[in-house]
Amino acid sequence: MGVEPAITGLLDRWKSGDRSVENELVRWIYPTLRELARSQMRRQGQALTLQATELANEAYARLVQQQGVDWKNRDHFAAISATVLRRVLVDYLRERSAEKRGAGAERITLDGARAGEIPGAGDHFDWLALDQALNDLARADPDAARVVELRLFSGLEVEQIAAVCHSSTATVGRQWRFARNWLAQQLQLDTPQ
Amino acid sequence: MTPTAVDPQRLRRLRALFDDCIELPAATRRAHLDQATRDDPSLVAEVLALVAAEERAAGLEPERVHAHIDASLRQLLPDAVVPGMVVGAYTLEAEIGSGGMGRVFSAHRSDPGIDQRVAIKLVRREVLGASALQRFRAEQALLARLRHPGICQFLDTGTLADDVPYFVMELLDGAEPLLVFADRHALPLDARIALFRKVLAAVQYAHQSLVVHRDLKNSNVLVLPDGQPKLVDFGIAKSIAESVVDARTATAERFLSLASAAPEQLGGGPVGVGCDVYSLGILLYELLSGRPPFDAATSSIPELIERIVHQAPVSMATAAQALDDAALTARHLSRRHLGRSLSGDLGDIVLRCLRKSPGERYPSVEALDADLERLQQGLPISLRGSDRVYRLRRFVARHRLAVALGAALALSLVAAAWIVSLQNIRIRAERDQAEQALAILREAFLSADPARMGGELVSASDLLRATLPQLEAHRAQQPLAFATLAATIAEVMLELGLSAEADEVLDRVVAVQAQTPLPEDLRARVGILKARSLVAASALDEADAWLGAEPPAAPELRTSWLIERGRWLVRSGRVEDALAVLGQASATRSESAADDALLAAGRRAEVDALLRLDRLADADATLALLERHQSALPPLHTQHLLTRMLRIVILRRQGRHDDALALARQVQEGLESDFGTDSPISARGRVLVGNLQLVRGDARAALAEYEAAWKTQRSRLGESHPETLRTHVNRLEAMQALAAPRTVLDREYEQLYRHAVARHGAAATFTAFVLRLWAESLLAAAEPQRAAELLRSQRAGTALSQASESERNAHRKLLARLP
Repeated sequence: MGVEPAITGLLDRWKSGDRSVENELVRWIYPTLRELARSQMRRQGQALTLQATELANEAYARLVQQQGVDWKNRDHFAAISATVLRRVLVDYLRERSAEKRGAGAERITLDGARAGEIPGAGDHFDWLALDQALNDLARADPDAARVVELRLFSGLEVEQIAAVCHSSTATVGRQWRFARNWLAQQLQLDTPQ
Repeated sequence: MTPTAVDPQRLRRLRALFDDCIELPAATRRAHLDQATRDDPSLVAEVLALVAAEERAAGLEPERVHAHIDASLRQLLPDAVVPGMVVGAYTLEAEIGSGGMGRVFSAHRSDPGIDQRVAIKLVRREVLGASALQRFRAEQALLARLRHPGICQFLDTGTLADDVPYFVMELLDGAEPLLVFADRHALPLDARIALFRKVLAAVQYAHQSLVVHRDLKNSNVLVLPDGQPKLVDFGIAKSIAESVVDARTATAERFLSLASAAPEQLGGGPVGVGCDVYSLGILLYELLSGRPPFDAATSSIPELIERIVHQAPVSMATAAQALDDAALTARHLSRRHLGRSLSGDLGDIVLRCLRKSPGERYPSVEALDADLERLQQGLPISLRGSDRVYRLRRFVARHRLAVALGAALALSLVAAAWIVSLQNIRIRAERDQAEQALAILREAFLSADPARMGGELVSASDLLRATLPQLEAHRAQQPLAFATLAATIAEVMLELGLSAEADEVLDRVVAVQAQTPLPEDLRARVGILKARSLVAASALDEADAWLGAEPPAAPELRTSWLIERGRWLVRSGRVEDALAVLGQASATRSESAADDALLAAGRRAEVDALLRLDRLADADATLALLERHQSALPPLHTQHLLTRMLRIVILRRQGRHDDALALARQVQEGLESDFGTDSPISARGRVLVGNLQLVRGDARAALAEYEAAWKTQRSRLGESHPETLRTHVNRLEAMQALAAPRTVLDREYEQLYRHAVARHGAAATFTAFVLRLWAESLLAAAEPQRAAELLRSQRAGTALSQASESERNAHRKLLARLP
């Protein structure tokens, strides 16, 4: 089919640094990831833990199987699916809060994510506020915002993040160091003394 | 929730200050912040709060942080290296530079009695792995070897307490990057070139010491206030011997700078002197034109890579158009004279540095420097000779020969496979020999590689000719291999328009055939090729015999045969029959690829036939069909040129002389670059241009084209080859238009007559045609008496005895106007 070359081409371009194709890629992956995330949440009931790594792996396997897409590199897939997972999560929470009319933040945690490294972020977290703050950060420092997204929504290690961002571990470290503290400040999280 | 709108600019500033403070000792933070935030003191508290949060987090709840995160975090700890620290005999002052792997500090002797300031480079802790350490030590070892006024001097080396290595270098006080220096001093072009040559001297010295820098760029060429440039950062440099062997170590490449990296560095190819020459070209380009040839700021990474690897840079003159008036004035340039200042030899020199393939660049920095020196002295640069080689190389790489060599190899493999299939010991011996012959052929092609011939001009036909004696030596021992390869060479020669030479080669194959039976397909192929060379030489009866009555069965050969038969029919005056046969040929290939040479040849023969029938509209349509079919080919493909030669004829017939001439000039240029100036094909292009100039009344220009074409044809095809004869006729026409002296014209006609007789015989249409032209020229020169004598002579009588009906009529009509 025509699907495969298109998506492979997009991923190649994205891999080599072309962010302009990101939206299109996200559109390809979104439905699969959303479905998987929902079934994960349904299985768990009240306290939700989204397993970012597992979700990415499942989505990866499914897309390879369904569309015969050759992603070539799991790290790159995990990186793009971090963007998707963030949108899935935010969309889900918006829908839910619309349904329940201000039922407040869901108790959702991200397994394997480093929310715990954001000072004051406990098991539950105002993801919508975080999403907004991340958007603000992205306007000033898109690279740092991207690093946060990857730290929170993918199972990638610092070295892998540096590689997919065409950056260095030192730079990624500095970006994360600032961003986590700034985000904590923005979200007015209780900083334990 | 989120506070009100975040100001991106303020946020960026916040981050920069935060990063600063984290690195600073706690005691000095406040002072730094106060100084840096005078305009916006509200930042101070925010930054300090963030820093405090960070420091609490760093020591907080370690059990929550997984072991692997911990490990990665440890890597991210701020470097412990700070100003004031004592390193060996020195005390660090301030960070003055930082690269991918290392940080550079200014420092002074800790001993107050010694007044010495130095630069100290330390490896970054976060990249401190075995490979980084190795590279760092390698740089140190390379640098210790180099001692040159243009290279930052290595002084000492050592390790910190925790085994972090460092080395001490000369401190370049007040130095600034090359481009900054040149612009700040508003250096004119010649001063820029002089400054650049000092850089070259340093690079040249490094190369002589067997070191390639591999990361030559603006920020690594620092110029001291006195104008002495210094090369710094040999961080990814390599010894030349090592770099050739160990070209594919990807780790170091991560640190190189994309915009000045040579294509082979991006592609992972071998990296050597050529890569420094390329980077120097990039630097010189920007130093002169004010713009980088490939701008990292305006393109995405994949685009940039694509452009570096595939696209030629725009000319410096064009790039400099984008400079503003101030920048131009600073260079002592005027907008109107940009082209004159930046193109020509200077432009050629820079572009030669920037060629995609290292073999096409200057072979050494010395050669580049020598050209710049000659340019400064107003002497001709070395480029002319090498530029021809470049064009030939381009030809060899992109066009026929590459194809021909590929075809030759493929055919030999077919031959070898055929021999193997017979499974016979005697034949197997021959197979081994066939492979040997193949090796010889490859060797012959390679030894004629212009790059290896030291700038000597080698034409395509020279190349082919060079292979023949090598092949000839094997004719007796391996007749089959010889026949296969010789036939291929003859075919390529025919495509190059060298029909006379091709015919000789084919005769040698035919001689083999008399002793050794050749396979059916090879025999058929030789027959078709023989017919093609004979048709080109107007030997129609012989060509007919070689073609035979029936086409061979193999599809490719069948199409070739049909096309050849079609051409034969055209030349025999049976143009309608020819169209039918050529139509069959095209029908067998109409679905083929855009670069199918057979389809193109067939279509072109069709167009030629239609033109002979004066069916201009049909010719136009058929050619348009071919043009559409070939539209998928790259713009410089040779097939376009051959097709356009017919388009020129059609434009001329349509009376669009200016369009035709413009296209003819363009085609002519392409033909020369692809086939060489001395090829018969280029001569055809020249004749086309000449014809159009004659039509427009510029006989002088036309004559120059004809003369050049005629010279090529005489030496390549022979004095009496039909193409040579036709150009001779054109030449005389132009000479007459220019009122050449009668005696000169008569001598020329006499010569033309002899060559016509030599080719076609005393009794032939063409011979009669020559005599008639001669008579017409006499009549035009008001010598009707001599014209009449010529037409009534014995010569004319003999010529007319075998001439065509129309030629006889023409003679009769002319006679009627004479006394």
